[in-house]
Amino acid sequence: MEATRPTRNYFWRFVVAEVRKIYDFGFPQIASLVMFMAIYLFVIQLFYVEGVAEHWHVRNAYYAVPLLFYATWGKTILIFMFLAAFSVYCVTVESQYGMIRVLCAQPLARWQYVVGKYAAISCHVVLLTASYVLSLFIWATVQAGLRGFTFDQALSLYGFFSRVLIYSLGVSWISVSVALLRRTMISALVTTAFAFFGMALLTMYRSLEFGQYHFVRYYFAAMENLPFPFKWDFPRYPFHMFCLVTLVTCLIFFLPPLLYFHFRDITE
Amino acid sequence: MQAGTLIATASAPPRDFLDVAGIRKSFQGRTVLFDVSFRIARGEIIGFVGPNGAGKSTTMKIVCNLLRPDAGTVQLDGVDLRKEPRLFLSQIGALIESPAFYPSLSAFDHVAYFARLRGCYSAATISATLERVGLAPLSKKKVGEFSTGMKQRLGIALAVLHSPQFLLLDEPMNGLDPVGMVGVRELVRALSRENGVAVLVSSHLLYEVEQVCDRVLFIKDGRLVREKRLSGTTPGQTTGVRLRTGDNARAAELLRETGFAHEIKESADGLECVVAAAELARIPALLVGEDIELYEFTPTRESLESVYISEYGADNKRMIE
Repeated sequence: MEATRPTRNYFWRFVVAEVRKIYDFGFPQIASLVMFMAIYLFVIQLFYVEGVAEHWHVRNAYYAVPLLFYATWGKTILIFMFLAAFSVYCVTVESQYGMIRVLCAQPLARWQYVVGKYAAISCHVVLLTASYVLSLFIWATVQAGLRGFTFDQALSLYGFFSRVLIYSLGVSWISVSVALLRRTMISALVTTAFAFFGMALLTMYRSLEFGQYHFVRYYFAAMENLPFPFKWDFPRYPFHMFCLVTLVTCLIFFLPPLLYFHFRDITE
Repeated sequence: MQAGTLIATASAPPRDFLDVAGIRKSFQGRTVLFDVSFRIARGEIIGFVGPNGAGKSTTMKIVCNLLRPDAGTVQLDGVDLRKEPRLFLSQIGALIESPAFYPSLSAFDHVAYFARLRGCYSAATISATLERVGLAPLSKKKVGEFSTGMKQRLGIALAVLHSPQFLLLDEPMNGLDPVGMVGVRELVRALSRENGVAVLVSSHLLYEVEQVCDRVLFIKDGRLVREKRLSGTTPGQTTGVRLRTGDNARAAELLRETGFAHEIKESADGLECVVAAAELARIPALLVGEDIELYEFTPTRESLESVYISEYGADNKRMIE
């Protein structure tokens, strides 16, 4: 019997199988539900405990969304931390449970495995972020209503949500990149935390030229002395620059694991 | 020439399917495999035995592309693993060092995942695969609640799911109950017999290896040191036979004269002979033809365990001392 060349595209099949597998883990569904509940807690804190509506003129959801996002950033960051941990889990689950031996014996090139992981995790990150911004919008609407909501405001909000999505993907991709260099969940989580701390430290060198810390600063926008990237209607931070900076940072993180994974022996 | 190369080529099967040639592997400067070479024919079941750390799993990991050899080639039906890894891997199924699996997924989910990846997804295929390894009643149970034996069965299910042409099973009997062992043995035999699947099985359970394999490779300190054929005969192969006759002295003389016996040991109970395996069937007729009464004719086969002890017993003794 002659060996026949595989005709079907294993890469896309791998991505589809991965997306379904992560769904079967159940985390995305639970996380979406928890996020929806958690954002209501942010609403309670902001509107009922701190009474921001008394100091700010919140006319409709357009004004409530950024308030909810910025003012609770210390808690909102938990959502991005969850996305980072989720991405790390989806990568290291293979090494942790020995499934990497089964997966790497499949007809997949190593780069396909790595890129497939990014793609499948990204699908879920997009869905999780969508459920996050939707929750944000729903609660903002419940709280402030839609009276006087214009098309321009909708577009502006759409731009803001797009930035949140790009940011989420950036957080996830950096976490995936770091996790691909590690073999256990704990070590990957610790290394990912160090990677983000490292980037934060890098941004602290205020004497550095603009371009040198440009690549990482958006991940630490919450630090008070740095410009916040999620502003819309703000010409100094155009959307394309935000995407470029965020994605170039990811690309720098993407190359080492790709090379490492291509050459490494699967010994775990 | 290295021992591994010499042994493997001396009794290479006529039609090679898997051809492992001169593979060498080092980890951090320590060489763990030295020019390991062997061949497997289509439909042949090969046992791979040796003590812990001898290089069995390393060899198997190289064959399924988990490790990159420092030297040597691996070909499956003429497809080189280094040159066309995807084509090579599309034809193999492997169970390497039983994985723990995803604890929150069911057996069905696991098989479905790999079925999607391999492009053979259908509820019928998944059910049939689980049925084949006896996991059908537990298909919806979370793997985190599985025993070692059940996980082993699941690993085998994933390896055979896509009907591979070559199967690598690293310690497939670990954790299985006797019924499970018989099941795996029958499955491996059926795949070999009906589909012509070549199988490489590593195991410490010598009885199981003896039951299922056609040939056994012995590996020690990263080198293939011996090969033993368990089914059929090869030119020059010898076997033992115990004889009790009416005239043992004459029988011994006759066997020596005809050249049938290579070694003859006389005892009070009869004769213990080492004869050419190909001549075994002619001995009773020879003796009866010379009017020597034949009371007992019992072929004795060197057990795998005795071969194993002769190869590795000294190491074990050293370890105890």
